[in-house]
Amino acid sequence: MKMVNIERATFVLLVAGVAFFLLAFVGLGLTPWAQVDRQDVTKAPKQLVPLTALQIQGRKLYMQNGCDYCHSQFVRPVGDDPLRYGPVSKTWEYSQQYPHLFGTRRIGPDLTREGGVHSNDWQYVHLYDPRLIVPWSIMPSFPWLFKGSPGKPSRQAKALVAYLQTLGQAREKHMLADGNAHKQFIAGIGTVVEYKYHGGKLSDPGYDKVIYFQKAQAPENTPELRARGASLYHAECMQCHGAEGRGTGPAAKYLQPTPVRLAAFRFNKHFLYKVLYFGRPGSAMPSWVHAFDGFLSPRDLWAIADYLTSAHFYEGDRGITQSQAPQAPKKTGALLTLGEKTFKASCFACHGMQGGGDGPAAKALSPAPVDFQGMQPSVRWAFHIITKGRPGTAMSGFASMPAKKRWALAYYVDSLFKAGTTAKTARTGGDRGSDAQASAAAGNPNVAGRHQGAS
Amino acid sequence: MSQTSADAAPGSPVSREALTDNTLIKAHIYMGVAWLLYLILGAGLLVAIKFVYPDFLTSYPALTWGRLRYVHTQTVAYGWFINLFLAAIYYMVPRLTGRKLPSGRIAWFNFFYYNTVVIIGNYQVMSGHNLGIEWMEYPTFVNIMALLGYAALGYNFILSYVRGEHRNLYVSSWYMSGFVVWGTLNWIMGALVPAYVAPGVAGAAVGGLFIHDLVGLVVTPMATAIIYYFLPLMVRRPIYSHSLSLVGFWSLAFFYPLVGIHHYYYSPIPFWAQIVAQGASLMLLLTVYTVVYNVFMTMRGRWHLVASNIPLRWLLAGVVFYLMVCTQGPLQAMLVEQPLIHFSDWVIGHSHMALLGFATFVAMAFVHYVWPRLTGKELNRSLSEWSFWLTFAGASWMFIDLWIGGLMEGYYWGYGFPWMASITHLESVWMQRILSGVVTVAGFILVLVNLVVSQLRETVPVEAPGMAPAEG
Repeated sequence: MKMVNIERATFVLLVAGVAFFLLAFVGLGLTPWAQVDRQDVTKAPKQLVPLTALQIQGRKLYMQNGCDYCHSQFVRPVGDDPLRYGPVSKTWEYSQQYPHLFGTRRIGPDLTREGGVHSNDWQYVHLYDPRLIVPWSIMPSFPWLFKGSPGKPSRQAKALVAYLQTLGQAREKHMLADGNAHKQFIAGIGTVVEYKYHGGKLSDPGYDKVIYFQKAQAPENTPELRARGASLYHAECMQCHGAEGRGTGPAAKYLQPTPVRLAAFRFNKHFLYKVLYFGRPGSAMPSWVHAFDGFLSPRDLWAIADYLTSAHFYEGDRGITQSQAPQAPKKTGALLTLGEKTFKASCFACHGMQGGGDGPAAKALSPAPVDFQGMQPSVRWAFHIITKGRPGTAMSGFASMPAKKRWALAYYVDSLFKAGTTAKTARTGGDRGSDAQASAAAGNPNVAGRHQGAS
Repeated sequence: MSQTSADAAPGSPVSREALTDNTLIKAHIYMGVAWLLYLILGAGLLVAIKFVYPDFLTSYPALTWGRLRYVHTQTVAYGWFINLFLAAIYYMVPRLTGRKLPSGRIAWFNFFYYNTVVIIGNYQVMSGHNLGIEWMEYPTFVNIMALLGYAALGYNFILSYVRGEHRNLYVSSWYMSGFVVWGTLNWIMGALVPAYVAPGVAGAAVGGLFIHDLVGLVVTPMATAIIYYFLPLMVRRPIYSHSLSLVGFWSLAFFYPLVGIHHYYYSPIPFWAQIVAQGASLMLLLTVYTVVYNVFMTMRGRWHLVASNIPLRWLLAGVVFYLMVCTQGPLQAMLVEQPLIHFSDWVIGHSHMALLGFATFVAMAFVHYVWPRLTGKELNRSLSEWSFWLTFAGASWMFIDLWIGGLMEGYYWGYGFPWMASITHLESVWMQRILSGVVTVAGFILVLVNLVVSQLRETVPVEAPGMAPAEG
């Protein structure tokens, strides 16, 4: 019998060169494919909406400019991934992607669930110059996608943002459909999506790290906490809200609605915590527990809330110019009565009879109407908004209303505020929310807020 | 091992030196080194600077971070390494088979053709046309053009061996065969499957195979071929064990194609495939340790040569980097470590040690060894020393710096820090990467200066050039 000589050229070429390579290609390339295909068929939602032409162009731009080399697109079931980015990636989410854009490096955050996290105008400003919004970002700026300013996106920028807004949407829809996620309207916040956890399996480790709502109780006020709040404010909030909280940071002029003039408001701390936690859907204000925007801990959120409610930060009527609002008339009982009457005639549909932002029309609006129990504008600033309205929201100006009535409204709105820790607001997120939210507030680890879950 | 002596065709009238086209080899070396400098000065350093100064060069789409990263990685693989590997093949194959290349004209044509393809490819990715697959960014038409270049090489290579009557091949020939066959198959797989055939997760599985095969089945085999061919010549002693080299080659051929999915651990790719990739990754230790053991045993009693012999020093530094990178690789490919280091600069440090540490140092050993034998002109000793030590210091600094950076990132991500902590705290790490890159490229510039300056000198007779490695 003739021995095969394994050192002959043909043997090396055919066996080592071709056969082993094909073995690996079939074993680890094609076999997973067959399995993946079956999964796509059995587990995918009935109808996956294909991308539009604009979104396809956006995906191409994402590829052409190497976005996938800094931003991965798969959420792993390990580490802090589910906490930061939300539900662990499923096979069917990638069906029909040629090629996949998994990525191998995270210099910036994962973008699997980016859709809907930020508003379009936020995305435009951030693409135009990331440092307008995130001061220490090292993301490249893309001024050549714009015609001179963030307010003038080219078709390319629109396409890219349209694509970004699709990321994770199919999954969210799917989870809403099969009951693994719920949409909740929270007064003064807007409609947010909560994911349910099926904790405890290998595929979902990290469920026990859902601590945010459980630790919603405010920590003790200490000088350290306030100092941390101040430094966080200057690191994370100032680019939009301005160093003095007047809503005039470098990014502000490109955002609609414009950032809130924080210094003109008194806040209920629990309300503020809730806003920081959920963001304000429909505006550029994102959720701050989410990785993209800080991944801040409960303590950090409280620290910011503490700083924003401090006498040091609050300006009230100071700093409001004459052109924004004239001097206020004296507050009288008659004025307040007129204010209440006007409010209950003209404002309740959105802001609610008690001013809690929960009027009958509130759920249909994005951003949701302001909750005057949680935030109290200074009288002159309220007058200014009533007169001019808030472009980008459903709040239109009432300049045609007699000035007396507007002042009356401003004083009435002022009186709705509830500063103290009432029973209602003690349980953050649970006040006017659903049962699910109440249980989250009570420390149920099986329910968590947006971007906090995996299924 | 004596069989290789028989490869020199009996009765062949030409001497071994006359078998090769030295001008062609020189041209490939010049071109390769030019690509090397370009990929660092024109892309790598700029990319590194953008980490610390993100507003640097953002006004032009072609110079945005993502596109320059394409240029960097594509030019490493297809500009620098392929040129050097072609030079090495054109030097080694005629000596191993005892006959000239079947077609010197095709080889020369391929020199111009292939480098034009790389230029077109780089132009395409810089102007925003790419395939979107990591390490395979050139658009499809460029990939098809490049495959024709591969076919031209394959023609010369396969005919060289088929025409000769070779009972057995020297170990370098096995590895070179691997390079030619795997390189072609891999290129076809990477350029076609994820982009056109297998969608989404299935494409990612194939993409993972492609990425790792490029390192493991294209770069590593050629670097190993160079080691096995030139080490015996440099130390004037045959390779320690033929059987070990067999084990190393066949385990590489079998296990390397299986490991690629470890680039996408914990992704939606079926978990059993990730487990297989983990097992195969661990088996690579076998491949690496047999090669390195073989090298070290060949060096027994001759380590003092490293002090005086600069090509040997490049070669052994490359082998030591190989030992380190391929010990690190299988161990870091364990699923349990992935939450900490995946997605971080650790991996960037690792891949730089593979391509800049291992393969580039071995390629430099080849350059420094053959240059005097090709041109009859010695390289400047002190320039050689400077270029080695600058490159060695810069590269080592970069690897360590990036590993530390990677661990820091993993820590900030895994322990609940704000995302920006993993950016702001890394500034000094990224600054050091720029500086280490500057030191590294200074070494490479001196290599080019050395090559060019040597040509201006008068011809000096060099010690008797290359006996075949198996003679001894």
